[in-house]
Amino acid sequence: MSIKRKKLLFVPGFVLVIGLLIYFPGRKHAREHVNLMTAVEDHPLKCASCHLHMIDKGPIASWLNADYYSPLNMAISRDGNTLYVVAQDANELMVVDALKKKVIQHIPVGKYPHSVILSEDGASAFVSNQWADNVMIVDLASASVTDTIPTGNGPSGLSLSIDQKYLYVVNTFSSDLTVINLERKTEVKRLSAGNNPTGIALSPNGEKLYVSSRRAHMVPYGEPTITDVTEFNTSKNRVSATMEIDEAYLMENMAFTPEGDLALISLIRPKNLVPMVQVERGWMMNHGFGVIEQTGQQRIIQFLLDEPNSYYSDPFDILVSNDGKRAFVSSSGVNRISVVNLDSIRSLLQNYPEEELDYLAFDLSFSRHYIEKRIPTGASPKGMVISADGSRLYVANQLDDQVGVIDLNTFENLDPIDLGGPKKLTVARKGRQLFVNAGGTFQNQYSCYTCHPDYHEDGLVYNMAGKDMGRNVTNVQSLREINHTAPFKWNGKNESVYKQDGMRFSTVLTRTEAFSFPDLDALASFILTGIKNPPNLMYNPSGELTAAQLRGKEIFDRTVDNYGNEIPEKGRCVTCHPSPYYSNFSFEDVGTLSESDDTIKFDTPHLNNIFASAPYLHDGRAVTLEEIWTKYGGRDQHGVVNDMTKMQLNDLIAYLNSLGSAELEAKEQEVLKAEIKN
Amino acid sequence: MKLIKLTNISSAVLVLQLLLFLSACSDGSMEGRILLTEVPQNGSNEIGSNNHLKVEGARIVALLPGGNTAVNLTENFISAASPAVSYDGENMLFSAKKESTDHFQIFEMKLSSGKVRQITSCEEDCTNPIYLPLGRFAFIREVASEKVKNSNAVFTGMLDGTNIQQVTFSPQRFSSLTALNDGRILSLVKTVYPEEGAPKLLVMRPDGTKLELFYKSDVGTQLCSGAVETSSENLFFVEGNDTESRVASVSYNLPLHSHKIIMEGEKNAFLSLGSYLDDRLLLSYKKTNSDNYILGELNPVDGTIRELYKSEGYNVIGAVLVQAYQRPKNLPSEVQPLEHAGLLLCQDINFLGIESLKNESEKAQKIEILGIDSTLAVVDVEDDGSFYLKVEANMPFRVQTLSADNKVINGPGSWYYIRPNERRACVGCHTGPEISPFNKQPLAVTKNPVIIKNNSELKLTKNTKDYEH
Amino acid sequence: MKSKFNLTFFAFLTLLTFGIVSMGFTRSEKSPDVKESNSVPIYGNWKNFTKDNGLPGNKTYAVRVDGDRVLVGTHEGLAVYEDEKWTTYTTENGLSHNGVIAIDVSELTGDVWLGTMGGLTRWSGGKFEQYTQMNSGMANDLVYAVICDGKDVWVATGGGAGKLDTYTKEWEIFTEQNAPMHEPWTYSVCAGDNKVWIAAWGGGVIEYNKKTNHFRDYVDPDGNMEIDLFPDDGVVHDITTGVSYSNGILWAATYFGLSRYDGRGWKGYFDHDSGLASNFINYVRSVGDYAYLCTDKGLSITDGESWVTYKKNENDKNGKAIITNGESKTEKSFSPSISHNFILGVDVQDDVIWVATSYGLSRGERIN
Repeated sequence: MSIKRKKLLFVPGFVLVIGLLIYFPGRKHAREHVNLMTAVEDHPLKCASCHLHMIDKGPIASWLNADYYSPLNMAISRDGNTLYVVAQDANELMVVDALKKKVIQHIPVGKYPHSVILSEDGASAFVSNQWADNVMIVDLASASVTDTIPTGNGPSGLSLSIDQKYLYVVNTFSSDLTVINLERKTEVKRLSAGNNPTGIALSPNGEKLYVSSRRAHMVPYGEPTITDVTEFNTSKNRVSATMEIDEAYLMENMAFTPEGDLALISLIRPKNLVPMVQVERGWMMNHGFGVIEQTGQQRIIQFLLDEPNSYYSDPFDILVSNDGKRAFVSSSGVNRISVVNLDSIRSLLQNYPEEELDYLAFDLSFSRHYIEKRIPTGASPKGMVISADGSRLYVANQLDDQVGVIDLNTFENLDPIDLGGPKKLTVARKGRQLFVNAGGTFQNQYSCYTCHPDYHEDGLVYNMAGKDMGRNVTNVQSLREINHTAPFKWNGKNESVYKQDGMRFSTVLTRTEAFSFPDLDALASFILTGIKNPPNLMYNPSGELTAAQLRGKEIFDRTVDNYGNEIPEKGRCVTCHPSPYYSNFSFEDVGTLSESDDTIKFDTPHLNNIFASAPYLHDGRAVTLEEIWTKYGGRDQHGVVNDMTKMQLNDLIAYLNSLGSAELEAKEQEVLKAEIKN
Repeated sequence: MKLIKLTNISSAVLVLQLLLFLSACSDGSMEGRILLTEVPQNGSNEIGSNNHLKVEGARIVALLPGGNTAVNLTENFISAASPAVSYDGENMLFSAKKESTDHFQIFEMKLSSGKVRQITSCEEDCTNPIYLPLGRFAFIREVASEKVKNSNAVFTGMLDGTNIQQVTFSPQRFSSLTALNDGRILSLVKTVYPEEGAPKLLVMRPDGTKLELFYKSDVGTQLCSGAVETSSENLFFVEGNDTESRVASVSYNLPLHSHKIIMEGEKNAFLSLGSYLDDRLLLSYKKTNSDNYILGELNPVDGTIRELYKSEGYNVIGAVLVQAYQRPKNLPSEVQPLEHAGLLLCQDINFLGIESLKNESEKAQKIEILGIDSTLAVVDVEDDGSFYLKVEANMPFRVQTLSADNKVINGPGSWYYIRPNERRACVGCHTGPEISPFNKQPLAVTKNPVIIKNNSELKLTKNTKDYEH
Repeated sequence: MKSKFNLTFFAFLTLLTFGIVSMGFTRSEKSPDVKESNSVPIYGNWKNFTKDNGLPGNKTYAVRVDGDRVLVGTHEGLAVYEDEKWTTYTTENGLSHNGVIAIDVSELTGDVWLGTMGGLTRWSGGKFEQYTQMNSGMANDLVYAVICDGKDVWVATGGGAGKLDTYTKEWEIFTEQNAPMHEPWTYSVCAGDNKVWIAAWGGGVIEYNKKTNHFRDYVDPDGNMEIDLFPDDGVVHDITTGVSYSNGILWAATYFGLSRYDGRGWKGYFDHDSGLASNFINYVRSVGDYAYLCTDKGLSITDGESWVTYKKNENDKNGKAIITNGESKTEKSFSPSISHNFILGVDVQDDVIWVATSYGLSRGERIN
């Protein structure tokens, strides 16, 4: 054997020996690491699970992901031939030939569009751009945006007055209703509209406008869960009444019957006040719809969509057939449309007193009296429209980029309309599908999305039943931009989303088979890379801080109190909440441990877009940011604040309200660092 | 180089041989065959009773597809019954004994080879095995005591015979187990103490937790068989009364309100059901009262039967098709064997369903916890009617409600038991499984639970572990 | 000591001279337009409401007419008179406190804003929403006054004035720390012509220019002296209890008399030199050309020249209106008269006046 040959053999041999030396201890280390991060011992040690699919920016992230359309809401032309589809992730209004089932135009609109409606003459479309705080008027003949009208924060649901003079825009984030004078093309007033509203419906006679809220009243834990429907008088353009819907929330959409005898609301009935000890017997979430009688006693009655062993989670849109005999409810958590026989509903309303109907809203078997059919749909059915001739129901299947087509004579599916989105199902997209689907919960009772609507949080406080029932009352946390903010959970006990959503999650929350590892890969990938913070247009639209916010920043960063005393490091805001995430990713006792809490410290939350995450503190006891310190500041355990004046506290809160996406914050930090270097 | 070529060729030959060997194995596959129990006719007086499958001479046979030829699979046993097919269609669980003096044990047979291995070594009869997901199985074992005669319990374990544990603890008699697609176990159960009750279909998680009503027949009708779940989300079973026998169905989603009669026959005309192809069913039935039970294929849509097989001198019972089945969900378990107690919450003992709205009857203010033969405790309920108990694990008990002066308002309800670390809750005492809770924090959970125990030596200290996700 | 005394004396003389000179200018150039005396509305046909006929309590603090209904702030909650029926709303309905001491209705939205002894409450479409010093940026829970100014709501509280932007839900508060106030205690606020005026205890009238975000203050040149040493030299006293603005005129009430400011000069009114019922003015509301003054000794209405003052007799339900025009005084008797002479609130709409007193609410109809 020549020396050359020996050398050739030596090199691979050496590599092999080194490889083996690295492999075994490396594998042991990897096993320990993965066991810690996943809280299981049988993970297949796929590094890509966490180290590839959770990359949220850069060329690798671009390569891993794809640009989907994600249709959300739709409008249909009067002749029924054209659909106008809001493609939320593509910032487009898509014009679709409903007969040929083809997309014929892509009209760019604003950021994260939510809803579309058409003018009565069909010449214009109005599109609400939820992340741009405006409404666009689209001239459909030229397929171009002719006007952009500023609105309140987070515009969503839209309606036109019956004389077409006013456009009503529901502002979800600022919880109000913008009234736009269409002659002047400007907002003329903004009326208060409950809490986090989206749904809007105009009575057939045009006199009454309803707006449905999604979040419940902010009340101390233990008080009833009540959510508002706000009624507006359209002749005066004023709030005329507030209807309190008991035991319900997430009222996404509303509809009137054509004859105007009933107004309908999709809703969820949460069970956040009872200990989360089982799923059986509808113990966590029920789903249904509400009816507001427009004649007679004008009662507000709720009906369940659910059945004792099957739940129809996350009802989104509700629509009434043109003859007023049926209502359709899209349940995005189970990929079903429930067909409700409205004549049965009318008969039940006529024959039962309110007290009994209120009780029957707890009876999971009662839906047998009015549910005619459950129609399967594509992934995550959202907005629906019905053709003018009443023969077709179209549904935006948000997560497979299709519009479903249903024959209303047979209630059978016809071929769907493919909007032409990417054909590959990325890991994160699959994760999003899993996130919104209730299949991961026993009997489909709820999805991740139920408690995390908009991938955020639902504003409720739940009894997690820690060591005993009644213990550990905790506030739902937002999932927006939580990558890089580990640990997770209110007490920071979960090092990774993998652990958070793994075996124990299925044991005590979803109570069905745990997610498989590939599903968990997908879910974690979506949660960590696919959920963005909306821009903070309310408090920090330009990135430049106001005078009050700047003063607040000084307080946030201060090291000396009003009396000139040095504040101990632990008592400074910035110590535990450093930018860009405004968290030190650690735990702290901030003096808010209650008797019903198991003895633990609390996770230091990140503060990006904190203005949108009320209520605050681990158990949601602070309804506003102010209350964190006015009511619960204690003896300066949550930062040294007791020396501050009310004006200083207001400045501090103005600054906190200004905090936006960490990505923006990071850029600002870079600029700051560059300035310091120079 | 030559050596390399030679190695390659040898490898190829080896792979080929392996493939041939494997294909030979697959020839032994029994996919498509029907497994059933044949019970000798002379034991027919036992048919329909608790012990009808324990008759000596009972055997499991495999029915060849399309033919009437049956192969006895359990020649080595004096009695064998209750075949259950694994989710991959490769194996069969069954209960059997080799000698008259033996107890029935659970065995598993590899269907391709007929190789049998014993899984259990019970000191009482172990019968009615079913497969559970991920290498687990469940069966029924006799647990009768001097006090509670004729009761049995559901047990689960690993298929290798390890981790065998009792999961039900109520004085009841379980017959027939079905693994539902949702991961729970459905069983035909009747209470045997203090008096015998009507059989009901109860459902539980495989760890025995959350045992509750799934379906019960109307008064005058009696459930006669366990249930079979089909892919159309319906469950089929046999029921009967003094004059007739029926095959009936309920939907999985709404079992208590979807009862449908598929077909009717003479009294005792139908015996048991199994799932078959295309949502059809295998039915043990007899044409006339004097006939044996034979096997037919039932079309539940039109209620027609096609005769498939009969066996001279035998009743044909409990047929099952060999095929791959969709595995039920693998439900997680909250049971922590090291804990000594579990928790029980009731929202309002005075809430009795819609009747509460109509009647202003006397309100109960206490509950009495009744054990098998003694009162375990009398507990005051909160003003909102709620109670919250920490109950010794695996201990059967019933609850009755009392007025302030200890008058019984509502007599004892169903038997309960709480598994170690189980957390269980109900809306009221008699609201059934269809009423969801009022979204209201029960006053009782703002305090520590009342401890209920039979064993005075047992220390039920506070949970030390956090069982949150 | 000597030099210091001299300096003080010199300063006093200078101020005195300046005061006299400026007084002369004011008097000669800025006398208000004189109207016909009979143009000041006279109200009669009084009808009184107390606990006996529908009010939740007799102590009424504020009244506001809102279309077809009348909103009354009482010590026992908000009382609403509609279709000749009274409905009361209290903390049980969502009020932040039962002592409702100020009311305004937003012209833009129709929302009712209620200043209470325990916070600010918005009543919109039947729903009550609370703003307190604990749950919001509001300065203090003792809300003496509330007004709606477009999308903004201004309050005068015991801990400073404040502005709530109803769009952003952000508060801006003004105290002695960031405004020319003597102390944070504020009693009243009004708005108009891009300005906001705040009646600040000991600080006179604070003017906030919405365009420039700048403040200026109007204080009594005589300081806190209880007599107005030099007439019409400025606001009559630094302890201001009310401000109201309409038709270009700012009216400032104090416990020591009334001031009127037309943007150029001040004019003072006192009980001894005008038809004003009392110098102790609890509240002022101006509507059109008229100011309605709520005092401890009756209600006065003036256009700055002529006066009509309503007083109730001590011992019976009857009373009178004293009509003052220059030197001439006439009286008109009523039976019954207003409910009580200690008056805290007033509002008018068309030809009807509503008066909140410390013992009942009065409704009068214009009779001239």
